[in-house]
Amino acid sequence: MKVISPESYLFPGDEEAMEAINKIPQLSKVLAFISKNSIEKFYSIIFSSSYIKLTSANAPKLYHFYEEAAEAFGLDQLPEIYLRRGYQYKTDVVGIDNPMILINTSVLEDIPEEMLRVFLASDIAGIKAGHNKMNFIRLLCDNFADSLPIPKQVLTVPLLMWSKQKYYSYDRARMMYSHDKDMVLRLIGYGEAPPDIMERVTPDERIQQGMEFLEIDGVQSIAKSILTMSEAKPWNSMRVIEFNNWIESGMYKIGLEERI
Amino acid sequence: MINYHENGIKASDYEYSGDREALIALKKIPVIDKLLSAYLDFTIKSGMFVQVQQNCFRVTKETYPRVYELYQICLNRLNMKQEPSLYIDLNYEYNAYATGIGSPFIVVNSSMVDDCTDGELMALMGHELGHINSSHVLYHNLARNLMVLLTSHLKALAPLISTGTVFALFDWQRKSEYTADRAGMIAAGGLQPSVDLMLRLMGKGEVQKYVDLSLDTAMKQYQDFNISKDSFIGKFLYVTQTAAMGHPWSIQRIKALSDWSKTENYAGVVSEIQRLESAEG
Amino acid sequence: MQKILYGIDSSEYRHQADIAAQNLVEKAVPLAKIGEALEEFEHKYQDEIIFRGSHVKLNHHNAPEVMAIWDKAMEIMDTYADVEIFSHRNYSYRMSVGGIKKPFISIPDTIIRNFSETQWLFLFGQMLTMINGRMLKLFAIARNFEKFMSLFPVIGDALKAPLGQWRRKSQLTIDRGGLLCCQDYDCAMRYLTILSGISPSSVSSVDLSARMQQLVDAQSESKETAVAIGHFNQTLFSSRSAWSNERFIELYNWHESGEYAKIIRKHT
Repeated sequence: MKVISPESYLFPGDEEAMEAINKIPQLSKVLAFISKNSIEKFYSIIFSSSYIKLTSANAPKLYHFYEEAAEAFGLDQLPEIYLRRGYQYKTDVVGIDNPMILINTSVLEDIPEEMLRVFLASDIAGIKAGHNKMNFIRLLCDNFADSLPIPKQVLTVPLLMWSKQKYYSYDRARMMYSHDKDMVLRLIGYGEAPPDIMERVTPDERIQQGMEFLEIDGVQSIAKSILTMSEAKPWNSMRVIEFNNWIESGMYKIGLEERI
Repeated sequence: MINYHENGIKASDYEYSGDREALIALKKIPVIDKLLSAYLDFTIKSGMFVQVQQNCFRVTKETYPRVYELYQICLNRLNMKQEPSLYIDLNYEYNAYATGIGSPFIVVNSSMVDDCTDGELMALMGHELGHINSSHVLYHNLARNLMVLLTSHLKALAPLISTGTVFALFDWQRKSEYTADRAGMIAAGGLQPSVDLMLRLMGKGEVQKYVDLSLDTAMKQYQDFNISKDSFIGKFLYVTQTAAMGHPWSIQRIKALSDWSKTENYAGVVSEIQRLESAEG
Repeated sequence: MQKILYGIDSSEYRHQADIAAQNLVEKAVPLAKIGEALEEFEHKYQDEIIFRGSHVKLNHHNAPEVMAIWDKAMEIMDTYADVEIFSHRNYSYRMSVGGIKKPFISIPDTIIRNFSETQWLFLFGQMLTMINGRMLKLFAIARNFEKFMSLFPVIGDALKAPLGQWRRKSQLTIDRGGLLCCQDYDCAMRYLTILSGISPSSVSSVDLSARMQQLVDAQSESKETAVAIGHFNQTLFSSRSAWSNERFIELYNWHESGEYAKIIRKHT
C-alpha cells in the first residue's frame, strides 16, 4: 500500500490554509530557521528537564505505535515524545523540523490500546501535513501581532478558524489509518463520559445530537456562532457531523482506492 | 508525637552547600527578618491558613492513621523539634507545600496521597519538613511574593532592592530545594523512593503498562538535557530561564540526589539515624 | 433500603440561615423575575449550546444505572422534574445544576467513575432540593452576579454580601436534602469528607467520629487575631461556598438534633 497522503485527509479549509502558506516563497525555510533557533531549543530544555522522555528503550510498545503511524503516513523522522501529567485526553506538538510531542498521562492511563494507536496517529498525520508550521505561525501572531501596523484580528481570527479545522483533518486521518468508523466516532469527545457509557452511545445517537446542534436556529444560532468563534476546538457535535458527511460523500473510499 | 533527640541529626548535617550561607546572608537584612516576617505571618494566617483550616482535611492519628504513621516516621527520621500540622487538599495536580511563618503547616494534594507509594509519600512529606527544618519558609514566601510586593504595597522600597538581590533570592531558593530533596530522601529511607517521586512529578502517572522508568532512564535523559543546552542559544535560554525559577530543573534534582547518595555525608546521616532507631529498639 | 418521603417539601428542612439570607436578598428588589430572565437567557444562549455541542447527554439507553438512580431519587423525594442530565470530563466531585423552566444537571466523569449508588442518591437529593426548593432563580442571580452587578451597579454593591451569604447557607439546606434522599448518615458525612480533601478511594478509611471531634475542638479553640479577621473577611466577602468543615458540622448537628429522624417518620 502507498502512504496515506495529506490530500486524502485534509479538511478543505485546512488544505487551503496549508497551500496558502506553502505558496509564500521562502516562508517555510524562514519559519523553520526561527523555530529551530527559538522554540525548539527552548522546549527541548524544558521538556527534557521537566517531563519524561519516551524512547524505544523505556516505552517500546508506545514507540512502535508511532513507528507504525510514521510508516503509514510517510513521515521519515519520528518526533521526540514526552509524557506529562494531565487530566484531559490531549497531546500537543511543538517545533517544525524537529517536532516534539507532549502526551498527557491520562491518554496512556485510560484509552484502550487499540484506540490509543489510532489516537496517537493523528499527531503524525498532522506533522506530515505541516500543521506544526501553522501552529508556530499562530504562536508568533498571538505574541507579536500587536506590534504590526494592522489589527491583530486580521491574522488571529483566520488562524483560530484553521486551528479548529485541523481537528476535522485529524478525524479523517484516523479513519484513513484505522478504517474503523465506529472507533473514530468514539474518539471524538472521548472521556466526556466514562467508557462504559460511551460504548453504549450509538453512532446514530451521536449523529442525532449533532443534527440537533446544527438545527439550532433563530436568535439562538447567533449565540451559537459567537460561542463557536471563541472556542479553541470545534464542538464534538460538529466533528461528528463533518466526519459523517465526509464518509457519506464517498471521499474516504476514493482516498482508500488511491492508496491501494 | 515527635521524638526529638538533642544529639540526633540536624538540618545542617544534610543541607546543600550554599543554602545555609545564603540564608545567613539573607537574614542579615533587617527589614526582611523583622518587618516582612510579621507582615507575611499575618497575611498567611488571615489568608491561606483560613482556607486550609476550613476547607481541607487535617491528618491526625485518629482521623487518618495510615498517612499519619508515615508522617511520624518522617518527623522522627528528620529529628524534627516541632510537628507541623498536616492537611490534605482535594486536587488533581501533583503538588504539596509548606507555609506559615510562626506556625508552619504542610498541605499535600489528595492525588499524591492516592497515587504515591508509601515511600514516595514519605519523600514528599520529608521534603516539606525539610523546608520547615531549615527555616526556608519565610524566604520562600518572600521570593514568591517579592515582585508583587515591590509593585504594590512596598513600592517605596523598590529602588533599594536591586535586580541582583532578586536573582540571588531565586538562586538561594533553588538551592533550598536541593536541601529539601535530601530531607525527603532521608525521610523516605533511601534514594529510590525519592527518584520515583521525582519521576512521578515529571509525568510518570500510572503508565507502567507502556513505560518502564528507572534511575538509569532518568540519567540518560539527563544527558539529553545537557546536550539540549549545549549551544550558544541553548546556553542563553537555559541561563535566562533558570534565573527566575524557584525550583531547579526536575532532571537536575534527580542527578543531585543520585550524586549525594554516593557521598560520605549521606552515609553518615543514615548511619546516625540507624543508630538512634536501634537504640530505641 | 431508602424509604419514600411522601409529600416532603424543602421548606421543612431549610436551614434557618438559608431562609434568613434569602429573605434579606428578596427584600432588596423583586429578584425572582430578574433571576428567571437571567437564567433563561444563559440557559438558552450559552448552556444549551455548550451541552449539545460537546457534552454527552445521558439517557436510559446509554446510562441505565445512572438514570435508574435518578428515577429512584425522584421517587424517594416525591419530586418529579423534567431534567436533562449531561456528563463531561472534569476532575471534580460536585454536580452543577442550572436552568429554571427546564433544569439540567451536569455531572463530571469522576463522579460517574467513582461513586456508589448511595453517594449518587446524596448528590441527586441535593439537586432535587434545589429544584423542589425553587432555589434556582436565586442561584441564577448568584451564579451570574458579576454580570448582574454590571447591569445594576448600585443594587449589586448592596447585594454582594447578602447574596454570598445566601449562596453559602443554601448549601447547608441542600446537604440536608442529600441526606434525606440517601438516608445513610455515614455516606453523607463521607461525601462531605471527600470535599474536604479525601478522595473516594480513601474516604472509607477515615474515622468520622474522630474527625467530628477534631472539628468541634477546633471550633471551641480561641482563634488568633489574624485568623479570626481572615475568617470573618473571607466568609463574608470572598467565599462563594460554605466551608467544607462548616457543612460537616452543620449536618452532624442537624442529624443529632433529631430533626432528620422526625422528617423521616413524618413522611413514611
